Amino acid sequence: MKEKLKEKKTFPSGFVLDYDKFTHDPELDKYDGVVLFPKKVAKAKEAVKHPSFKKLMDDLDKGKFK
Amino acid sequence: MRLEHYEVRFDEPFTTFKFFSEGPKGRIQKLVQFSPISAGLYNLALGDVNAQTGEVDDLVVSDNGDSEKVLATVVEVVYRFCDRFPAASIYATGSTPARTRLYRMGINKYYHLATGDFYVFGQRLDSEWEPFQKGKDYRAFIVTQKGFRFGI
Repeated sequence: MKEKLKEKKTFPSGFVLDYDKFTHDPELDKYDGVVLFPKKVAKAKEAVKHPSFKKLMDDLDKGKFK
Repeated sequence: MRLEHYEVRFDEPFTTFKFFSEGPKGRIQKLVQFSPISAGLYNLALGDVNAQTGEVDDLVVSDNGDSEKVLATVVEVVYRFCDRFPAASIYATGSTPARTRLYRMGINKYYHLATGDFYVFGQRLDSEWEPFQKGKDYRAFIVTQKGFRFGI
């Protein structure tokens, strides 16, 4: 008998994620490796070059945020 | 808590998601894509697919009367993506200042969810990054699921 897949997950905030609301669409696989929004990606790469971003991620990895 | 949202389809690398906005302007196909910026960091972008040309446009204003449901669907997609890639950090900004404000309003609206499950950071208008503060103006945002980054 095929194992029944998990249907939902509740996160610590109480948010409920329904897995059955998400379906694989093979037609979308054509986007594998394709960047649909190159300008936004370029902008994002610039934004995270700021020194404060590295410090923030370092602090995050050190567990400084609750 | 459940949000009213559209059903979502995804590709197999699990980086591109599709749903249809439904409203007075008809049925509009929307795509959400997560693109890698650096190790573990992804850019989130949302755009409409032009029904005539098939091109994806992140500047078009759909005005389909369902912005709340679209926003809720993007929230669902973020949760689903982070469920698959729990250590991922997600960067998001609007294509225009008005859209960035909309994202900020969205984070404020779902603040209890956002801060319950994610660390939320904002890039101030002077480009400095800091922990997100409600009501403050930011040019971009980053969320990281709590409990999954190295060292936490």
